Amino acid sequence: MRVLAIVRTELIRIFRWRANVFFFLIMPMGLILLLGVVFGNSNARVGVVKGENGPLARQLVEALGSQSGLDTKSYGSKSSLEKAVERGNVSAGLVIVSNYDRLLRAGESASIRYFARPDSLAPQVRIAVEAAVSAQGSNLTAARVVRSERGGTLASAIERVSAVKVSSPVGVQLLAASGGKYPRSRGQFQ
Amino acid sequence: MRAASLITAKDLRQRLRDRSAFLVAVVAPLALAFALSVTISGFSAGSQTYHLGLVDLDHGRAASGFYAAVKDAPVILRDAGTLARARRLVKNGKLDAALVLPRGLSAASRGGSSVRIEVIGDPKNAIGALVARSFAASYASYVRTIAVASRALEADRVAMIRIAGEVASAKPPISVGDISTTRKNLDPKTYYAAAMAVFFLFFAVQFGISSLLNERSEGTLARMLVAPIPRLSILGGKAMTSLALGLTSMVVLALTTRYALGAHWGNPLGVGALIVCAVLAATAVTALVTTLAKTSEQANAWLAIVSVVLGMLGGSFFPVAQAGGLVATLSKITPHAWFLSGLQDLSSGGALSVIVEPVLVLLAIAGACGAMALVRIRRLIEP
Repeated sequence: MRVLAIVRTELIRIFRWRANVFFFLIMPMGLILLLGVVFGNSNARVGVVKGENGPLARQLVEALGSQSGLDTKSYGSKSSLEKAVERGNVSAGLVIVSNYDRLLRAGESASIRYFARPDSLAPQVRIAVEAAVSAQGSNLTAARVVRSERGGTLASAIERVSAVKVSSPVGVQLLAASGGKYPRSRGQFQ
Repeated sequence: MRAASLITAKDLRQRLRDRSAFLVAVVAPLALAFALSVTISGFSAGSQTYHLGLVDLDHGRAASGFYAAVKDAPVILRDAGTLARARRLVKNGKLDAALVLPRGLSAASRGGSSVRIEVIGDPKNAIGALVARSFAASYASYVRTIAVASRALEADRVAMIRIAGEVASAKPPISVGDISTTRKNLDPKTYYAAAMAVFFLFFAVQFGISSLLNERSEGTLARMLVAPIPRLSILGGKAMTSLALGLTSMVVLALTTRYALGAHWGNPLGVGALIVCAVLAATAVTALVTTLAKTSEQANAWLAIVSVVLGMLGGSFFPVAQAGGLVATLSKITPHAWFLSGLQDLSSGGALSVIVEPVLVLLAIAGACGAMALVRIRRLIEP
């Protein structure tokens, strides 16, 4: 009992000095939290400048963000995105041209600028970007093939393709190695 | 000025004699910078080749499409044999992920029934799973495009083969153009040398301003106040002690880590400007916290807490800016983050103009905290 009384007295003495509460409790917890925030997410981060922010550009960004293993972060300008890529705050950066929606709706080609740092995950992220881009460009590619086969204007080919209702013949399912469901996200600390 | 210099000289002699300043300003940051730089090799997953497995249950032409797709990517695709083996290899980490091409996949692109590609991934290797899933998704988009074009053209199975060829060779309507950027983050050696230097700077400068409270409790402040010394000289002397200790600490650490650890601080002029501004900011923050305390013990405790919190948020222990969100925003209120950000910009060999923003922010912090400290510090030097 004496031991407990001494322990109690010492603890009261230690924690009466408020700074000790910080160093014994708050600081370690804060460091753990910070470590978790900084290193706990193994996903690749992609910075995005949406440009005109039309529905197609939004759709593309959402398609990227919904992928397991990838997080998107919006940036206001190309220069701020470039800075973030250079500093390694994001693995890669995507600048969607401001007339992206208009070009695609008109059946024209649109371009996306991809900021990549050679020593980052950018080449891997690019594969995911290309997958999202090819999904979005699927109908337009089909329309171009229709026009080359049948002739006529691209607008009429787009109209023809848009009228087609077809479910994707090939689906993709991500599974865990155990054969079970793949968790949506899992940090390195889990 | 002479009185201020005498006070500074006395303080510095005192600190050199008891070795406390040397330990806090040089030994501790050097030891930690060395330990952290040798244990932490990098902060982000660098580019690497991903190893994917392929389980071909289709035995058709689809597999060759996947092998062709990975040709220009940082990916090695190899036959994983059976599904069970692929799962085992992914689970053991021998493969980053695996693709299972189902029976009938090749036929699906020619109007066959719908199928599903399974991607086996390990949640601990999110990027591997992302890469494999992206290849599968690209193939699925390709087949969908064929299906849409074929339906629109009311094509038969023979025509579908031709359409598949056209889709494969069609120029994609959305192109992704690469723009290579330079690397502007510090290597671990330089990062921890700079991060520890600025972290311990906040402890080093405490020996100056906060010693006013010691002088008060020991009665020596009263003696100074009755002596023919202007009060401003007392303050100036203490501030100069802080600045001298801060500057010495930073310069010694920069030079030692440069030559002993091989840290690359960047353009000496730019580094010098950043060091001076960081020392001013640290001295001003320390002065402000000191004026809020009633006793030297309280001041020491508060200063330690403030230094540790600012250090944690400012990226002294790890680069918090990479976390994004609230943490990255909060880090911008710390002088540490601006000092390190200035060094990052300098590290890529940029012109001195790249440090204008961090220098101005550090000076603004110094000005704001210094002004508030000056208003409050009168309380400390009243007899």
